[in-house]
Amino acid sequence: MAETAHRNILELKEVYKDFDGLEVLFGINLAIQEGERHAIIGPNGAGKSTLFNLITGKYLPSRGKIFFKGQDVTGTSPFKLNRSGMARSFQITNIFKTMTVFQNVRNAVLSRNKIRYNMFSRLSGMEDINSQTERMLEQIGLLDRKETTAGELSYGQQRALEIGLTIATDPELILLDEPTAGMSSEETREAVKLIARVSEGKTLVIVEHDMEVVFSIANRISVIYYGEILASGPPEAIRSDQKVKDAYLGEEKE
Amino acid sequence: MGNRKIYLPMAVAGVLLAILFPYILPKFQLRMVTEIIILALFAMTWKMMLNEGGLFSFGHALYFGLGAYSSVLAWLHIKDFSFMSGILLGGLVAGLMGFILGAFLVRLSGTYFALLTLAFNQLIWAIVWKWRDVTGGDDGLGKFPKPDLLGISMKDPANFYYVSLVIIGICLFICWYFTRTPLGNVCASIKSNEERAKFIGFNVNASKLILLTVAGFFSGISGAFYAQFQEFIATSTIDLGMSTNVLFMAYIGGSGYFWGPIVGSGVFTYLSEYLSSFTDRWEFIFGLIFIVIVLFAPQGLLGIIKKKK
Repeated sequence: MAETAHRNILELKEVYKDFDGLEVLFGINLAIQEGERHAIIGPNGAGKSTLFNLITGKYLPSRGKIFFKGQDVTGTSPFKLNRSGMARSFQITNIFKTMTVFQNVRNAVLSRNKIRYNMFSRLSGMEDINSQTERMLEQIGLLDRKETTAGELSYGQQRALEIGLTIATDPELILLDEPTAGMSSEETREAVKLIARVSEGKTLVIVEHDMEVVFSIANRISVIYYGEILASGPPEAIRSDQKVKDAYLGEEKE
Repeated sequence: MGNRKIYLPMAVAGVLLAILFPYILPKFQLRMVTEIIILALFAMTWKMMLNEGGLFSFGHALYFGLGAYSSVLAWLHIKDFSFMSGILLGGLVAGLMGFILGAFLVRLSGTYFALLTLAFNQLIWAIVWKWRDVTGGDDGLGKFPKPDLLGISMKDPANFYYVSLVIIGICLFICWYFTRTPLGNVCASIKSNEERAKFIGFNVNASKLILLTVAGFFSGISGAFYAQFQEFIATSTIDLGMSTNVLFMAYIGGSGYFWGPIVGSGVFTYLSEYLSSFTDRWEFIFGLIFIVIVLFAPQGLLGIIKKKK
């Protein structure tokens, strides 16, 4: 068992979650291999976000275990998980709205550089941090907005910043919760490019409703349906899976 | 940005004025300026908690009073306990209390945080009030030594003013500097969005704990100075009245600005002195002033000035 756990960057074993008796997830088993681009799809209320919250330590599972890089991380707090190489974005934009775009990304860059408790040096004098921050801003296309207060950005830009905050801590495992939710098709195309660019060489887990996005990014898909994993496999297999068609994808369009 | 030019002459004028105060001001006004300086640090620590960490402390007199009582007890009972040792002890005891209570407080925020600080304040106040053998209870503690500092007599109001100015000035500078450091930035991030701060790897609880300890430490220093300034302490240094006074000071000046608590301490101390010479119901008038400020200038006096610019 230890051998298989080693190749899987993330593994969930018989994970259950109920909120005061309301069962949301029933016995989720999920293994995500290093380098995989794994999409989790399913109808609203299927438990996708709950699953994300369990993986990233926001909630504690009612039962079951979660392994990250072979270590049991069940119940580990979010900041520790982040430090060990896991970062997430949020479905509802969760940025430092009162701070500038530059300060937002710098926060994550500082965290990556393990500068968290220093109370003796001046932040503005940290050239290395500043240049790393600028590079990251360039990558997410927000360099020219760096002095703008994050709350004043357009929706699409806020979503880009959301992704920027997630990747700026340089995680091995990136979890994106509906990164294109609420975007126009133009913005979505941009976001897909951005996601592809920033997740290169890393493991990506993405929750997404937009099937176009899913099939253009993912090389593996899991379908959640009422708290259970209905199917898991490569995109072609999922597309042709009869159970999935019945439950979720419906008739093939095109 | 164009204001840079006027800052330097203003700073020079300010320093000169501060040096000249003992020569140009009558004694009672020099006393008032000294009190303003000491209370400014206290108000600054309150502002630090709210503005830098988003923590609303409703029992801040706890740290101030602990600083005052612990230093006075040391001066009273330990032979030849030096001036600076007392000040430092006041800071350390209050800082330690900030650390200990922080263990309970950091998990909370908003209303619950405020209520628990209030409860702790009441608890310690009750102990100070009842433990007469040690604290003097209602009668307070007086007649403690006022040691010289490096051969300079602290009994001379001018000397005491200068020492307060320099040491409190340094403390205020550190409070300002703190906001420019990475840890200050982490605290600001927590205030801005606590959940996001967690998910990018900041240890929210540990950072809050350090902020509480630092704020406690400087409150204690302020309290110890206050004790030497008054040459007498009573439960009023640790009661809820003091906890609300500090809130008034920070709010009146503007808790969003570095100079806010300093201006607030000035206005508060001056007004309470001035109003109380007219009427013994000055607190009523003060309450009205506070209501007006909260309603019409929620960013405090500095907020009005900054807006005009």
